[in-house]
Amino acid sequence: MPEWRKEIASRLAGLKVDPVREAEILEELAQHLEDRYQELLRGGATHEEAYQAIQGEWGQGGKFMDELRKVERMTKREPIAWGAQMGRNLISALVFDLRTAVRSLSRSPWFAIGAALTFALGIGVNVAVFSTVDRVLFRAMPYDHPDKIYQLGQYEAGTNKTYGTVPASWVTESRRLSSVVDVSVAGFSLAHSMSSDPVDERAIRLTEASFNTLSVFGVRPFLGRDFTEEDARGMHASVLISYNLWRGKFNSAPDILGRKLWRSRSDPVEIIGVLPASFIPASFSFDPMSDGLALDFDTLATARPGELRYKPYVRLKSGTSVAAAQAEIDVLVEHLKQTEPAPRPGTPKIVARLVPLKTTLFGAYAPYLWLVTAAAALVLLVACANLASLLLVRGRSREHQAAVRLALGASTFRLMQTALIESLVLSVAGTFIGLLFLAWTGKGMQALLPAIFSRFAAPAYDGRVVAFSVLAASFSALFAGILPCLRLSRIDIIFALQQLVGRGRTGRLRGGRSLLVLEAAVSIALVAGATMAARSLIGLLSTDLGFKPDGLYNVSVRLPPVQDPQVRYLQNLQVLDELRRLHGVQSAGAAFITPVSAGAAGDRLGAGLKQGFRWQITDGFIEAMGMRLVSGRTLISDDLSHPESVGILSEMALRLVWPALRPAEAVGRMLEFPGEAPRQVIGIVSDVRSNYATAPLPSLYVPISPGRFGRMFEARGQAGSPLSAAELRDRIQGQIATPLSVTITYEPDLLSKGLLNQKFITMLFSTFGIVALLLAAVGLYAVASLEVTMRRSEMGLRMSLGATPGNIQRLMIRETLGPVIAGVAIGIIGTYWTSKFAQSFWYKIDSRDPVTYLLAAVVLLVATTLAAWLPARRASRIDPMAVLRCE
Amino acid sequence: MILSLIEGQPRHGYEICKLIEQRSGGTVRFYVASLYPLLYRLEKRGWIKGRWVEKAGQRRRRFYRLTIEGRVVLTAQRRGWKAFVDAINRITEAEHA
Repeated sequence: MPEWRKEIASRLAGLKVDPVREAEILEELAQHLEDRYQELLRGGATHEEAYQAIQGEWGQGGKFMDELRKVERMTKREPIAWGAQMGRNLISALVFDLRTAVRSLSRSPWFAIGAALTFALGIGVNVAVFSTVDRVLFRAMPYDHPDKIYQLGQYEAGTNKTYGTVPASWVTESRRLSSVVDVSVAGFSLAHSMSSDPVDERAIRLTEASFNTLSVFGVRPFLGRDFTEEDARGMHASVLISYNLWRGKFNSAPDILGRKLWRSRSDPVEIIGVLPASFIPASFSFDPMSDGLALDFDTLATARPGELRYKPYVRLKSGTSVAAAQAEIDVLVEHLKQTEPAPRPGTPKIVARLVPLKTTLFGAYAPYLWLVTAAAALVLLVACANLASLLLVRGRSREHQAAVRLALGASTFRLMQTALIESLVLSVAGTFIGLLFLAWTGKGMQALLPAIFSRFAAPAYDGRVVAFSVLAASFSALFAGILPCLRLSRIDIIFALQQLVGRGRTGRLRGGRSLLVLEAAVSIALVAGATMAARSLIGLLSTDLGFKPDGLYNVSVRLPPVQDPQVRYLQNLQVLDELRRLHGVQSAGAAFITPVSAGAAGDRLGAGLKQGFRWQITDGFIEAMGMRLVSGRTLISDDLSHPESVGILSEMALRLVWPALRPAEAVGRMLEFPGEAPRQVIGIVSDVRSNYATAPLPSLYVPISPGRFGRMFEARGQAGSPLSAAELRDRIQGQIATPLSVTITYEPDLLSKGLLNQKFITMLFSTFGIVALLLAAVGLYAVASLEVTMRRSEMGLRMSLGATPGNIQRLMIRETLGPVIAGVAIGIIGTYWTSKFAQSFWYKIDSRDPVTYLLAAVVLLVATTLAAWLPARRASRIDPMAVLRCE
Repeated sequence: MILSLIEGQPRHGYEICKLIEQRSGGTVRFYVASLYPLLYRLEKRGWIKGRWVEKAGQRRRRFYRLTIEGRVVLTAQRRGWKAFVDAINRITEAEHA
């Protein structure tokens, strides 16, 4: 009989298929040929004939081989057995592993949900932070070649201290420099408060800008046209409104161009265009809430001499270095200075400096954002460590399964791959939950943020944010998967299999402890950060402002325009009288600018007192504010009739003017300023801060001059019962004229707005701290639980030898808390060492104050003790008899 | 063709070969060189599944059975084939009418 197997084998030799597969094919084909041979013999053929017939049927063996080769090269469809070699088919192996991971996780749903949720917390915090800081820190500004745009500022030589705004001549002259394309100016957002119809009181805030602002920034209007030089020269009152204002207030009206905004009932301004959605209104006092640009026709077109109210933006020519432009500007400024009168003695040397646009807009916020980013990264680290410890615990509890797979021929690499994929599945699920939560809360979350963050935050479904989340999740999965993988590589098959058959798991969890140390160390840093932020905020809130905000109301009254200043003055005095008669008002006064609302924007005090501020006030103002009278008297209504003759100094100003005098000695003395008649000091009052975070301002309070009587009033009433704007409006309407607007704001509300940044930092750090605390507690609980399971027999033995449940509980808690205490110690040392870099973020507290660390340590230890106590209690309830029987 | 032969019960390669020959009255014949690459291809596609079966007193043989995926393909192919044959019939009958 022919040797079919040999013949087939010789033909298959060139095929290079898997030996197992080759053996199968060989056997199957040999059987077939054998059957065919026997059939031919039964049909009457001789052996020789049958053999020849079969050879004929084989035909050209080459064709058979070609066909077979093609088939064997097709992708395998067979499911891949656990432990099989995967080298040739990575994708299907990956898909298989993914399915296995999902299936295996779905078998322990509580573990999966817990792990995914805790990870979601960590990654959610990071995605939220990234979406807010990305625009400010990492994205290019939405302008054409933003690297060519600089702000021109006036600085004290050799320092970073700005020195007011720049002279107009600097701007008009620098526009002609060879390194400069053009120079524009943009100003305060509050410069224009307009409304969309003459009787609407909701203000629209516009940034004043020169006609060439958009061209300097390289931006085209989304709708309509840009300002032109002719607009400025012809004093054509026009505005470009923001995209958001157009979409919101004007419902995307197609006929928006040509419509009007109103400065007052008789003062319309034409809307000539809509700004693009991404436009950030760069301005002197960067205001994210600006609703657009209003054409400023003074500055560039008419080029009046004097100081600009704004800081100019300069676009450099492409190919020009900033150093070259700076050198050119230095020469120009030196030249201009020589044409001006010499500065007063004692004035510091002033230089012009070009500052990159991004620094001028976000520079002040950048350190905060970096701090927040760093803290968020720490939270992610804790989340990773937590995921790693959960996976480690899970891996340990399924060690026997891994051992079985190893025994069946799976490579360690395959096992690691499976473990990593499980980690990936959990982190991706967590990321998905986190993103979903952020997308769901969307605007709600952003409302909690200060405008600087919320206005520029990208939504959770933004491409970059999603890409960041995917990247962070993948890295986290790798990081969290490494330790469980290393553990797998050291698995002792025989030992693990023996345990499977024999006594159950024993021993201790090693890797988990180092993870706990890491988690505790990072958590303590975050909890300490939260404690510092909270203490800083409490410190701020307890700051003595120098006045009493409780019960203080800011009242703004806009009267219709009057030509005669004397009439206006009398009208304002009448308004003040009506305000004083208003129900609930104890005292009231007015000021040109109040220290609280305007911050440090009062008039300079004059020679010799350059750092101070001069406030023009009426009688009753100091009483209404609740400022403390240290000595002398406050203003009375008679003082208003001769505003040049008297003044009231704050304590700080007194120390600047007459350092040697006590308050009582200063009262009655004459104060002299160049160009002014001597002024008698009639009283000394407490120092006032414009908000919780700023230093007190050395101040001189003088009677308001008739021309400066504005619309700002301060009234003292009861904290709980708000003053009625409607009642005041009726009174004014009845006695004086129909007011354009009457608004009453409670001062503490204004003050708390100023605290938004600090409150936000505190809220953020508290969130970080709580998340870290929760993650550390979950990680500890998981590790402690496994430890209890693994040491059941040991505990049983201890109890049978006389240990009480109390002993067992204490033992377990002591052993689990060991790594936490080590971590806390390491974390405190690390935080203490790095805290000096964060000192500038906190007010009134020393970042190295031991109380902070003590508080943080106590909080962390209480939380983790609780987490350790639950498994320890379970350990103490072990029935020693049951355990020993198992042994 | 092969799919329909193993629809009712699993069969081994030689059996399939013989059935085709019998049912076609010897018109269609498959030999080892053409049948097995075809079977392996169908198996790779997931339409059929081969399994070694041992029966008492016999050597083990590889039996092929139809998978669910294969059943779907078979139904579709039958429908297509029937449509084709119907079309041919209509054309040829029209000529004779």
